[in-house]
Amino acid sequence: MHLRFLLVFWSLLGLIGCHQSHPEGTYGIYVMRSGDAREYIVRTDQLDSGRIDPLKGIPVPIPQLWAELIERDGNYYHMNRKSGYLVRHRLIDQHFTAQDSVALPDVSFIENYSWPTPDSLFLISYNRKISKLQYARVDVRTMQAQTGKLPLPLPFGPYNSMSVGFSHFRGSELFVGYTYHTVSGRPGQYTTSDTLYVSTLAYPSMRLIRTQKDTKSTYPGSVNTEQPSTFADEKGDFYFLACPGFALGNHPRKPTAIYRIKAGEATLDSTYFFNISASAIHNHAYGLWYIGKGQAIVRSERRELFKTMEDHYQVPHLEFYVVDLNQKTTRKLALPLDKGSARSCVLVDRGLVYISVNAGPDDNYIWVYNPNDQSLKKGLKIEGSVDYLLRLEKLKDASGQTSD
Amino acid sequence: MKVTKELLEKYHRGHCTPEEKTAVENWLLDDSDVDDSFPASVDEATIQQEMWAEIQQELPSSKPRRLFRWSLPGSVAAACVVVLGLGWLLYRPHTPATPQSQEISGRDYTLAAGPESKVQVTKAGIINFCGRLEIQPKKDVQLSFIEQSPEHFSFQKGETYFAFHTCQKADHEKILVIKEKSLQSLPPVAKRQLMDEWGI
Repeated sequence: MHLRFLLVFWSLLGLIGCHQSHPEGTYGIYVMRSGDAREYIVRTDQLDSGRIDPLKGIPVPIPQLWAELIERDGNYYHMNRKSGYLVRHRLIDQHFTAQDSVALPDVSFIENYSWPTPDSLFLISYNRKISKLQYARVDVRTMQAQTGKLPLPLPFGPYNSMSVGFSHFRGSELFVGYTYHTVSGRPGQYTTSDTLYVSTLAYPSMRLIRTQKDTKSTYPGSVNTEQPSTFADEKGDFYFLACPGFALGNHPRKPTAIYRIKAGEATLDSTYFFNISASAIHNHAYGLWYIGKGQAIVRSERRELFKTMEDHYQVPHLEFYVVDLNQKTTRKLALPLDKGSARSCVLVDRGLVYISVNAGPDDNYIWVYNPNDQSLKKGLKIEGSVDYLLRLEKLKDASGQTSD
Repeated sequence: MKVTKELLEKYHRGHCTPEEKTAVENWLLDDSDVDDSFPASVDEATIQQEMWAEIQQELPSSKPRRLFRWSLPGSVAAACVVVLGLGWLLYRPHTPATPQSQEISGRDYTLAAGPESKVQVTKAGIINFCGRLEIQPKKDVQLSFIEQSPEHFSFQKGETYFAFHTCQKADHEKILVIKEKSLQSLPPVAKRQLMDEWGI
């Protein structure tokens, strides 16, 4: 009788589609628990259907880590500011385990990261306390690093802080986007320059070649450990989002816009300015993901639905649009209003676009968008007392090979 | 012997003659003087801040659960000055300066000042502080901060809050009050400035 009960029970679970956490699963879903804000990672092979409870996954031992992580090939890299080490973690036997590290002197908060090659991690860090703008090149196979000064102008005149929002490698050149801030007055209060800067450096010598300025918008790129806003397409054209909205640049009179540096050209494409604020989106935006064939997804706010920065983070008001980069058109995806000012919530894999949407209790799903037929459906349901779905990543492919 | 500002400073430095030391200590012990105003030519607010800075460094290692209130009735105020003065006398020459975090536990809340921060509560219940203050309300309550330019905030029972107020003197200095779990909601520029400056 007992055995029969168990057989019936597990069969029912199979019918309902309840997924167990897969220790070697392809995808990693990183969440924040309600109440105590503890973070968990759960691995799964399936994003298209079923249900999963990430709180039965692996607890992350370091509080509020999600915004400072870089993930690649199942490795989670974190710059520990207090110890001065970049630490590599992996999920081993249901534990978030530190495996290796490298000292990065004077490196503080990570402004931006990129991968010049699959094994080479490039970091930019602005250490405001000691007025240092540093880069670090880390060979992640050996965890050896070289650090140096990034030769861009430090804050000047009325400015006492800066943000570096992108780094893009192209052959022997490195493009870096940045702007300046004045932090003063009420703690946490700041203003942003009305100018965005793009400098070109020779790589690997890091010699400054030229600097361009543009005032149509400001705050180029973002802290991409939290949410990406740049990409290169199949042709090598580089696109970045300028983000002057409240949650990033805080210069809201400027428009949110997409800029481009064309492959083979040395400077910003002066003919290209996709004004997101003036489009049907008609709001500021903060996240940008390329989904192929000249299309991207933009994650934008709804200004009339929030009053404070806390609202911006806690109230569902964010929307997803598919934008055509050439036609400069937009189409809203029929998704519930999402919450969380910054999330790494879009994953493109095998021709499909997976979008995690944090609509509220009992309404957290991975949605599946097919750009070929524009279909949109609910996929994996995220259960449990989950407050935020913070990161959605592919840790490895089905053959066990590393991702791109 | 009249207790003047200069004599008090001399006493602080441990440079008094035995006669001068006795005069100051008698003045400290004399509770017949119900007027707790300071000697002439001494700016009370300045002395308050200076004594506060000294007390911050020199109190014994056990944390006081309730801080000295400046506006208490004269006899009680004088007694507190005695305690603090004696503490100063006993510990200043010998105890190395170590930063102390302060806690105030009241009926409606618990306050904890972070490193290099300070807090006091007036008789009217206004919370004066600078630096970083952790606030844990014991019930839903509205609190007022900074006597010179009061700001009022509502607090919910069960939540933990941080309040930030720069210690540099500036006109119309505003404070930031935020739930601890909402620090993540701030834009990176703001979040990093707070984490850098106030060691979160």
